[in-house]
Amino acid sequence: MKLLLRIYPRRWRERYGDELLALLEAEPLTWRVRADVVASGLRERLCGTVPPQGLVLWAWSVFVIGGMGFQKTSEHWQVVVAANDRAVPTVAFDVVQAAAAIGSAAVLAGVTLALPSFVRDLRSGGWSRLRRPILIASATTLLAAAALVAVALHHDIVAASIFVVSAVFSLFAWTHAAALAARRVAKVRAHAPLALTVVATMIVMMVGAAVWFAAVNAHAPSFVGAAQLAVTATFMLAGTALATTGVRSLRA
Amino acid sequence: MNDPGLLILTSLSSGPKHGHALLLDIDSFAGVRLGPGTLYGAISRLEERGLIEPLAADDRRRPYRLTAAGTTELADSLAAMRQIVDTATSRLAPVT
Repeated sequence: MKLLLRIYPRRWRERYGDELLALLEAEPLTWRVRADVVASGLRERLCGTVPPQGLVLWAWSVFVIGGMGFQKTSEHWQVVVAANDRAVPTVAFDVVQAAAAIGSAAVLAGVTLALPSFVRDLRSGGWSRLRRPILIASATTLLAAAALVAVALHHDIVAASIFVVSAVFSLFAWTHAAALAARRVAKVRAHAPLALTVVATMIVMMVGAAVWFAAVNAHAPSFVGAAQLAVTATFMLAGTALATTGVRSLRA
Repeated sequence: MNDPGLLILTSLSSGPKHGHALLLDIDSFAGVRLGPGTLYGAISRLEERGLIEPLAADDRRRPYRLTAAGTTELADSLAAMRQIVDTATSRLAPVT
């Protein structure tokens, strides 16, 4: 049972660990109880270290990876689907793109609203806390840019792999820096509805992507690989789950 | 109606209780069996918001009680729910 409690952050364990342990000893330790403790522990770990706004930013970044997977998967799909059968996948694809634009606008709006508080924090010594993560993010961005140039010049598979890895790392590094900054940003009332908009657009994109896949798969069963589909769906689901946790924390 | 925080505030409105007593009481009046992790997650958030406060621990079991802010929060939530219930009841009346 003590092992289960290790999932919780140390500070939380020090305060509530004994009480939770006493309660677990008084209750039958079923799989439902174990799952509840694991899920709650993960939630405390996530929400205890990352502010709700940071969670939404992380969620968007994770979802973007899924979106990139969908974008790559759907390249040249018109070639394998006859013109008469393109109506449904075309609408589904357009819906995904429209939802992506709205979701991105909501994220940008949230960031813009936090800027005044962010600038105030920078002026009062916040830069020293952010300098290292921003330098790392900048370095990974430069590496990704260099790899992209190499891909453009040489069409090299190694450079392409370096580009993909460094681009993902760069996205996560910037998100980490932004989430750190969000810790000290004042609460903005509009963040809750904006985060809810982000979740809604994620759900629309997942539904749109699923409809697109079903429609294309009906005409070209081998066009989308199982691995591509699994990776895209995993990132999209994980992003949506994270964003939902962020929204719940923002509204609490 | 099964928000853990609201269920805990409702349970504590009849007096201080520790974790296990809260679980049993909530089960008896709401028919909801909260998981231990869910219960303590909600307790920590309520305490953080100043809606409940801990009392002296009895061995490893620590009772909690409502604060003045918690009582106000519970009253506000119940008033909001009552308004919804009244609206739904009046709208359903012509149907039934």
